[in-house]
Order: sequence, then structure tokens, then C-alpha cells
Amino acid sequence: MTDRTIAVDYLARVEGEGSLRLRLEGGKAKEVELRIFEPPRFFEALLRGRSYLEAPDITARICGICPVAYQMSACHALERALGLRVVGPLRDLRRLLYCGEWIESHALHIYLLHAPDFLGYPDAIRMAKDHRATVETGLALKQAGNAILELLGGREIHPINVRVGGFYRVPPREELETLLPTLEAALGAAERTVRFASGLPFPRVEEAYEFVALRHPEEYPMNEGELVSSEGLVLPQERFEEAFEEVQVPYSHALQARRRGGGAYLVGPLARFALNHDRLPPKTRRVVEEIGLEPVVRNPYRSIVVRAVEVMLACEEAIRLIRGYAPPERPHVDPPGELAGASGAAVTEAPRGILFHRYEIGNDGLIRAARIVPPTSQNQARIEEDLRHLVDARPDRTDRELTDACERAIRNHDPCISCATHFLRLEVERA
Amino acid sequence: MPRTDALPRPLVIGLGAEARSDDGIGLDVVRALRTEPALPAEVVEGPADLSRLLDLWSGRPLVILVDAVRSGAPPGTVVRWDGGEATRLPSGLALSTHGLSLPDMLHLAAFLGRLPPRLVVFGIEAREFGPGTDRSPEVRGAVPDVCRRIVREIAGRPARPRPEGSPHA
Repeated sequence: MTDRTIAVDYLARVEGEGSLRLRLEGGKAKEVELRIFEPPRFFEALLRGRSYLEAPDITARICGICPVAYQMSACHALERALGLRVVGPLRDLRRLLYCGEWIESHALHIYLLHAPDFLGYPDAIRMAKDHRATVETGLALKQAGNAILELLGGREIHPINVRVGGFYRVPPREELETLLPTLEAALGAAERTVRFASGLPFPRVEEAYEFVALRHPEEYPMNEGELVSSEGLVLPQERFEEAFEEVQVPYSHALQARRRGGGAYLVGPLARFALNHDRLPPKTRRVVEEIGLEPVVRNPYRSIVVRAVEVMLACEEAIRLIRGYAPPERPHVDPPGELAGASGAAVTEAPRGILFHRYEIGNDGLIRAARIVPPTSQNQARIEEDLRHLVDARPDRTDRELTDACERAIRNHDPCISCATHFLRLEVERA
Repeated sequence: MPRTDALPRPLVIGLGAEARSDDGIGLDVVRALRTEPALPAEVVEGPADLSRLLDLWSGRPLVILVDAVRSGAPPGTVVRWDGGEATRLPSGLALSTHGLSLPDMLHLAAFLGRLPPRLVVFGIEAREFGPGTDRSPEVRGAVPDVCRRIVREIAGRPARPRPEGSPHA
């Protein structure tokens, strides 16, 4: 009977810091601890005492790859508190901005972080040597997403043009139309990406996920929709906290989210697609049918295909939104002049899954309390289950093989810690 | 008749984060260069997403990058690499979610065949990378020297490169 402990102290290619510790006893995963050091906790304290108008820009700083998600969840939560409704062209522009973020975030993960796993390279740079056109496609797609962020958000990383009630400035139609050639090309590249991803070799794994995502009556969800799960949950999104709780685990600074009275669940592309595959725009739906993608994908390795589908739908949606755009009369809806103390919550679909924000505002317009539950903390417990199954299925692997396999399994979910290809340090204990 | 000044001019790109102390020194250099009279080059503050360098420098005969580096040398030390040397800089972490590090980007550009015909990288040894917009005095003190060297580089009279240890850029 061999006991082994594999400790990976620092995950590279990650947003923030993460580590992994595995303890095997008798060929079974005894302890699986994915540890994430998460900045959002500090942000919640930082927000207290600041004007509610600052929340979108402050929380955008939580992540350099999905700042729009933070801005959107913050805006929707605060608008719910203030009784503001953002509709028409302003709503469309928000969806367009979110499309830009999905495109750039997913393209980065698909091509620069995930594809090397399937094509057998340690990283995208060495992959580029043999797969030049593939990497070029990824960079072009990412830049198409960035172009939306730059035009509409004011700059490509940490956009500065979003505010409660809408935008500081909205573009005239002709300015937005300058994006069309880039996005038409991106749509073609995205379709090629779907076909490329669906042809990759996948390990045969099926996980019994409980999927959680937003669901909207008409569209693939980004900014709006009800909270739904594959186990039958249906809940207004602002009541997120009734169904989900965060628990402390002793080995991590981060809280892990769970279903109340239940277990781990999965958010992100696999969940969104499983719960919204009937909401695809027409061109994307046709390609999904052509490649024969099943409506519910439970193989985490195949998330690369679903992510590619979401890139394509985001390109298709972006083009539709620009073509239908007529500038609003004003760049934003005004908040009420007199503030009564209020609270509001909202969930939007970040590239990596649902992102919850809740705020309490005082009569003075200052934030009294804030709560943020990012997608990565929600997926953390479920990723640990993936790792547990992986270890138990093949306990005969060497430490090196096991480490590599675990890294891959983590990357499947593109957690904000996941952009890692390598664990820098590996410690092995053998009993 | 095409005007000769429509030909692509050399491009100087300052890299760095404004609010990360000495990391913003590359930006200070290009801002200082803007005050040079009749500099026959275009001068820009670089993109936060370095993968955009490929398009930004496309078609340029000469590209000069300026960035803060950390090698253990005294702060303010200036190092120069030409394109070939620059693509062999150690890459540190392979990738972050924010994109590619500069050495990674240069490796990638080389593999993709998208390096400019002439590429020069000036690194300025930094001391402090914490939050803040102030630069350390000795790092700030390197700006005039780097500007002079860039002007000579553009004029086709590079100062003789000094071999230095490979910094961990």
C-alpha cells in the first residue's frame, strides 16, 4: 500500500496564485486541495464607504481578463437597488461589450492555453512553431474581441466607459460600423475554430455535473436571465444567496460555493451550453448541428469545443447588434436624485460562469456592504471532484504523469487560476 | 506620385504600467522623446496586450522597444539587445491570463515570422514595482541617456552595445 503526497506550491500561467495538494492512500485520492488566493474578498471591504458610482470601475480591477463581467454585475446590481432600467440601445451596447470580452477571453484560453494540451506542446509559443496558422487565428480572434472593448470601453484592458445607468459616451453608428469588417472576419475564424476544436483528440470522461447558469427567454444569456440548474433549480437571479452558500475550507483563503443542502456545481461554458443550447443564433446553430455536438456536454476536455461555439455566437451577436444599432438619445439613464437606502443584487455570465454581486447603499449614496461571488470560487469544489476522479481512475501513474494530468484537468475549466500549464514546484512524499 | 515621407518610419514603443512605479519608465522615455525636435520616427505608448505588437509594428523597418527590467543590476542600468538577442531572453512564467510577457511575445513573433527587420530593445533596470506613479530617482535618471541612444539608433549610429548578464525580464 503506497501513500503519496503530491504538493504543487504555485500554479503558473494563472491569474493570481493557486496551488494543489494531492494525498493518495492505497491508490485512492484521500485529499484533494485546490488552493486559491482570491483578491475579491479584499475588494468587498475596499468598496465600503465608496460612492456606488465607483463600484463598476473598482470591481473591474479584480480581473484583467474579464473586467467587463465585473462592471456588468456591479451595474445591474446597483440599478436593481436604484430601480433603474436600462433598455434599448444601451442594453444592446452592454451585450456588445460583453461579446467582446467573451471573444477575447475565450480565444486566449482556446488557442494559447488549452490547445497545446491537445496538440502535445508545453505552451503556445512552441506550438506556434508547428501550428503557425492556428496561433495566428487565435491572436486575430482575440484582437477582434479587444477591438470591441477598445471602441466601446475606451481601452482594451479595464475599460473606463461603463457607468451605472449606461455609458459615459456612446459611439455614433458609423464609428461602431468600423468594427464590422473585423467581426465578419472573426466570425469566419470562429467557425473554423469550432471545427478545429471538435476535431481534437479527447480523453473519454463523463462527469455528473450539476450545471448552473442564467437562462433568458430569447437569447443566449449574458447580462440577464433567471438562475437555473440541470437539477431543476429555477430562481430569480437576485435571490442567488437563497440557493448557494460559500463555505470556508481550512487550506484556502478562498471561500468555496456549494448548493445549499447540496454539493458542488459547475458554472461556465459547459453549464451555459447545456442549459441554453436552444438559444443559439442561426449561423452558430447550423455549425453546431453540422459538427454533431450533443446538447449536453459532460466531458470537461470538450469544453474547448463549447468555448469555441461561444466565441462564434458572440461574433454573430456582435454583428447583429451593430447592424441594428441606432444611438440612444442619451448615453445613460440618470439615477434618482434622492437616494433612499437600498440594496440590490445581480448575476451576469462572465466568460468563466456566473458572477454574483450584491450591494447595500446608504442614503448618502455610499456603499455600506458589498458581496462578490466570482465563478472560480463556485467551480473550485467541482474541479476538486474532477481531480479526485482522475486520480482514482488511474492511480498507477507516476507523480509526474499525475501532476501533468491534474494540470490539464484544471485547465479544462479555465478558472481564473487555471491559465497554468506548469506547476513550478512539485514535492512528493512517499510513505 | 507617392511622397517619400509616406514610407513607414521607425517606431519607438514604450512599455510598462503607469501606476506600477518604475515599471512605467518605458512610458516616460517615449514621452521625453516626443519633445525631441524633428525626430524621424513615430513614438507610441505600448499596448497593454502585447499580442497587439505584431500588428502595431507590421511594415516598420525599425522598431525600438523600451521597458523596465529586473536583472539584479544597479537600478538605472541600461541594457540594449538587438532582435536576435531579445528573442533569447528568459521568459519567466510561460504565460499569464493577461497575455504574454515581452520575451514570450518576442519568441512567438519569431516563430510566426513576424519580427520587424530590425528590432532593438532597451531595458532599464528598475527598483520598485509596487503601486504608485513615482519613479526611483536613479531609474528616472536613465531617461536622458536612453533617449540619446534611441536617437542615435534611429540615425543608424547605435552606441556600441555593452554585453550584460541576461536579466530576468
